[in-house]
Amino acid sequence: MNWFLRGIRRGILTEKEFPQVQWPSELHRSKEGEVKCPTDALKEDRWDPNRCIFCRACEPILSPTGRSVQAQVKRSEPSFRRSFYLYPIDVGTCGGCNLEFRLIASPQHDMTRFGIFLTNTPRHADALVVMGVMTPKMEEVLRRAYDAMPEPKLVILLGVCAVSGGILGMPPDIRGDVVIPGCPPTPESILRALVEAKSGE
Amino acid sequence: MRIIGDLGPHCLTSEGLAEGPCKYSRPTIGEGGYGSFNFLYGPSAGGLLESVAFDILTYGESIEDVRALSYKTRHIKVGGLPLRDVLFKVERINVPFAASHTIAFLTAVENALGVSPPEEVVESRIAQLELERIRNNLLVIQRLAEAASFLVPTYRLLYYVEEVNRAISRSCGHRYFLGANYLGESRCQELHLPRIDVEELRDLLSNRIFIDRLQGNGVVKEDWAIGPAARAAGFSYDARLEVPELKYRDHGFKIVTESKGDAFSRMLVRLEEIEVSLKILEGVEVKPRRFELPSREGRGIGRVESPSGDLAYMVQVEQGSIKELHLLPPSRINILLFLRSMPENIFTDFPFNWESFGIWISEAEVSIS
Amino acid sequence: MVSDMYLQIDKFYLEIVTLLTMITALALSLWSARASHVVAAISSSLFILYGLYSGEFRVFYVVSGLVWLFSSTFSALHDRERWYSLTFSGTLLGIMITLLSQNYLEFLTGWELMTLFAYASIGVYRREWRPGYTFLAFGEVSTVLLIAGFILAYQETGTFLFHTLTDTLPLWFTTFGFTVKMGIFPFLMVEWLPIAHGNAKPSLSSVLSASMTLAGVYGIYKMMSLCPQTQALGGVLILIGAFSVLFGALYSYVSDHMKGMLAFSTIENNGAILTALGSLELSADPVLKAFAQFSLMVYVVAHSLAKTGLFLVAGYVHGESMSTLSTQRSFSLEIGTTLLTASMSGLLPTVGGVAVWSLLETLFMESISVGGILGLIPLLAGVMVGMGEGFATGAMARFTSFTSLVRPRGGERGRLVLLIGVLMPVLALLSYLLSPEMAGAASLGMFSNSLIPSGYSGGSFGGISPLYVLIILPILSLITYLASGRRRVRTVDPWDNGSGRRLTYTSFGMANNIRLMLRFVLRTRKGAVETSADVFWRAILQLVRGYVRFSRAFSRAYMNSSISWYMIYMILAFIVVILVVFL
Repeated sequence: MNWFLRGIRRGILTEKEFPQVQWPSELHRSKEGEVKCPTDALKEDRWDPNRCIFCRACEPILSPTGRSVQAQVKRSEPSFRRSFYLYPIDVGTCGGCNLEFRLIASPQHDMTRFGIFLTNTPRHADALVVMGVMTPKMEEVLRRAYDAMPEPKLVILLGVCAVSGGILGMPPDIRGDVVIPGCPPTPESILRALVEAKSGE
Repeated sequence: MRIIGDLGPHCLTSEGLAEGPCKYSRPTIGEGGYGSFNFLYGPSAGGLLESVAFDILTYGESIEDVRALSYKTRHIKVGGLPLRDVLFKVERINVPFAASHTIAFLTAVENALGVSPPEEVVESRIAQLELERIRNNLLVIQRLAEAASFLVPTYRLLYYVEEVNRAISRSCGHRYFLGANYLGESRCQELHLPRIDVEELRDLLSNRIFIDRLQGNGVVKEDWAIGPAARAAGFSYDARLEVPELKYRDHGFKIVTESKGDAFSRMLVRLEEIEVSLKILEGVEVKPRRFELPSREGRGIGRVESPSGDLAYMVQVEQGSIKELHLLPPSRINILLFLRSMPENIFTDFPFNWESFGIWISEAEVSIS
Repeated sequence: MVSDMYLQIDKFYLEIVTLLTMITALALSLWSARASHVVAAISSSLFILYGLYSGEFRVFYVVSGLVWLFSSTFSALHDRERWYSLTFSGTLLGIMITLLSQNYLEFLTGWELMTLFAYASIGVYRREWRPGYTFLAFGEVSTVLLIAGFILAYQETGTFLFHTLTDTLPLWFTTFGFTVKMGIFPFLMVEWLPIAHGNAKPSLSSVLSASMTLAGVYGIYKMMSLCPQTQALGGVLILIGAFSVLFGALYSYVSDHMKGMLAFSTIENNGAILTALGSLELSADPVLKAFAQFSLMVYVVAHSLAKTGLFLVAGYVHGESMSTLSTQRSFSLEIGTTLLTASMSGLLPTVGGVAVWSLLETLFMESISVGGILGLIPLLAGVMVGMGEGFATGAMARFTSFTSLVRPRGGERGRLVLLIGVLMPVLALLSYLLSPEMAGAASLGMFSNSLIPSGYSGGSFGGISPLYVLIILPILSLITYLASGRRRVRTVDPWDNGSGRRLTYTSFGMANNIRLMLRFVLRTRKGAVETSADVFWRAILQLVRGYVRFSRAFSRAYMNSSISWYMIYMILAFIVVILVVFL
């Protein structure tokens, strides 16, 4: 029973406000100068989060704001408001997105309070979370997983490798309804995107 | 003298390079009899963190033989690229081991260029490696607890993993050390220690049922094992003591070993190593520092102790760019050990044994040219 | 009065006609197999008619007749060998004589006839002489015990006719004679060896399983009705029956041989019937006895018919090992097999469900009402029966999956199996007729007289309503289906982890977890087809081998062809004879 009493004494660990993370976060120009970005994430003066791999080569010309990187939710599905089941599929990651994605279940973030859950099979999934660059053998697997999901369904592209290929390859050939950039995206950024995708608060 | 693994065309041993390839004894298991069939686990399954397929020869519930089939092979082109770009790619071969990969790569480059990094950089590197080790050991134990549906420890460990990630982010900027190490530069500002109560973890994990699932599971006794798997089998193998450049000896580092070589011993070794890492970190000071890198040519090897074992890079540098790069990831050897330790067990032992090795497919299946 | 007499005469004529028809079938088999089977089917129908008019043994006759009817119909459709039809109708004739017998001699005649014809059918074709020989050998053991029992009965009553007895010893002898034939623990091999490894065709297998053992049950039931109650015998029967349930079901579950699975399932059900018989003998409470009788009859009905159906399913399949057989799924076979295996698993609303429920209720009530140490016996038995039923369900689920559900579609055959399968829920409804009482529980939605209650002198205990389940199940399913609204259906491939491979799991693999867990009891060896062995068969083989070795050694030592020793033997014998005469 020790763990029980310890847990009670420790209190609630879930956070309403998350602490700031510098890298990765939204970048802004803080100095003048030319920057050679390895992934061409700087077009004219605009910083494109969908291409940025947060390699810090552009520091100190661009500096982090500490605000979590915004995701683009192109389509949200109100029927998932109370219950949102995710099926992660790794088509060619470095392992970082896998880990950050699993961390949204940590007590500090607690995805289940938003009605977000993980499932072991695409048959029961509402959304397919695609991570990593496209690798030849996983193309078919991705296609099968997508086909196995029942309607309505969402496709979530997690991490810059899935969005634009990052620095290591080509992105998977699938249209994403929710695009979460970052390398890897922080659990906070993932959680915000998911909550918006299921049209919560 | 111990064999570490194949590094390019050579065999890396604890005393340097030898003629490759390394000689491992590979057992062969014959065809199955009546009633046997091949059971496929993966590539896309809920219980696996990454995409890999296992072809298991079984009579039903029993495991006679396992083969690993690769599905997410990434081809990374580094030949001829400038060092900075190669560094970005190296960081992203396996992000949970990013510090180990980066530091091994940079050590190899510095060896090739004949440079010794200054003390602050070495201290900063030790801090990064140990923080990464703490986080990954916590993650391995969390995956084991999650496989057992042992929920309170699962969430406590996940809490700690997140705490360590935040501590890393406060220390070095990025939660996974990306962009914290550059050629001739170390950008970590200061050291924030995560608060981890190892006693609490020991207490949480001492559950008879949980331990029973790990004991006797996946016994590894090969003398070419590396990392926690080797130390759990009683071998005192650790790159932190063998590679003098990392200067671990100054921090009073002691090797943790167990004797049984099963999944339980591997978990115990990792648990103890968390404590050892925390103790090392207490005596380390981190400051940002820059230093000059000459433009020379050369070939060098860099080896570090990643959370799952020896990780080595061999580079050939020419005019500020890479001519040749070879990688020895610990997961490649750990996968061999895993496949050899799996027969004679049953299906339910599978996830525990797999997680206990701390294997990352992303670094094992990457092909570099 | 007159109508009664007419009924008697009619019955008498019916009996003669039925017997003659079966003898005709036997004779016809020398000319045409098909004709023989058809006439045997006709004879079976007459027998059913006869059975409906009989008194307390009605259920035995009707059920036997149905089993024969289905088996001979199947043979008429599929079997062409004259030798087989000869032995088949001979076996049926033997059982018929046994069931119709009026005295001990007729009973024995029928019994031996049945054994010999069945042996001829099992043992002659294949090169393996052991199955048939085991069958014959143990059949003779049972006959010897029967003869002993009947002689004791004759000694008491002075006649061969069936009269009430006061001595319980005949009951003991005959009961053990019958149980050996039924393949009860520890003589399990008597049942599974001939069926699994002999050459018995599906229709004969079903007769061996269902009908022959039914004759044994009939014999025990008859002797019980003639002899005074012995609680000790009841207790013993309950225990060995329960052991048979457990071990039969366990071996059935780990077996991968199709007919072997069914043979072990027969042993399991025989054990359950024996337990029911034992419960009948154990309790003195008339209400409980009536309920125990109900459970016996329902079990007999459920097992005989479902087992017949399942053996006939085996006739539509190519191959004998579950993991390598090939067959095609047809609608009739699918539905029929599912209903039959549901009945064998003890699921409502089939008659098997009523049977298992009533047996367990009987054991429950007995453990309460029978006092003292004797009350522990039904408790122990109930535990073993429960465990056995669990394994049986697993085995039956595996059977129906691998002979039907996972196979590709093709053809439309097996209508006979569908017919027998549909009988399962129908008979559940008919079980109301056999029940000693009926009740209603309006508060639970079971309107008047739709509940079969279980009770003993101490009060009511429980109840079951197959009618309720039979009605509610389709209605609820229909409501759910209709309430789910318009369906949009998209057919996809099964999810195979994305690999694109057709994922399979063999029948062998499904039971392997139990083979590994119970390694000690089952003596599991790797890589062989028979990976688990009947430990009792092994033990008996050890005993037999030991005895053969001993007797050889003894006879060599004894008859050692030395004149001096023979002289000593003669002198010793002389002395012994003089002593005996003197005394």
